[in-house]
Amino acid sequence: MKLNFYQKQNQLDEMQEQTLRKIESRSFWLLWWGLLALIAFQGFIGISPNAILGELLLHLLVSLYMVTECIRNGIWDRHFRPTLAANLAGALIGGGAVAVLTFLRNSYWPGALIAGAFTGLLVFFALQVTVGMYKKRHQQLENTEEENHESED
Amino acid sequence: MPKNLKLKAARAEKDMTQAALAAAVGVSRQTVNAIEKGEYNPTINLCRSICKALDKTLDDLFWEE
Repeated sequence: MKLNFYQKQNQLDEMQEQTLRKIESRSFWLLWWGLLALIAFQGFIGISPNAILGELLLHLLVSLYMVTECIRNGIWDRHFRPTLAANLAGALIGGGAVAVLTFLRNSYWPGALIAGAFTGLLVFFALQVTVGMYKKRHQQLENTEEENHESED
Repeated sequence: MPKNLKLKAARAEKDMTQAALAAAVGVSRQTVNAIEKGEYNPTINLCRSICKALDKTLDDLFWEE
């Protein structure tokens, strides 16, 4: 029996392809934030990290893939510039979110502050390292030599 | 993006429907419709295919003064 429902060749034209990519992009971010919210919620209601290990690992792997591929291609972000101020703001938001969630769960503010501060430092360190890697790669891609066509002329 | 009336006129000149032009250049009718309405910015490859199908130049169809 001939399988005629699958074509290896792309069945979409360029506009449909762009539209599909936009849909896939929105779906990806919905899934990414949804999974993060789910992990945070499960942590908030006291489910042990072992019970949500699968979600945690999947989220970590997807995020690592995203960061690695973006750096490899010399891309940082559509809207945010890779600056110290942006990294500080990111670290503050991350640390603040963890502090609030920890406080809501344990009602113990010193612990929440320590957890928030530690997360903030970790986020800041991770952002600084990735910005460094991005800048190095971006420079490398920007300074590649132009192809020489003299032999063809 | 403004409407591409030049494309619409060139297609009418050739007595082609959107579907016929779409088939000639290998895209869907909705893509040709979106280009004419100025809702989609085609790649240079598609622009060239459209020009060939309508016997026009890139300047004729896609250059704006």
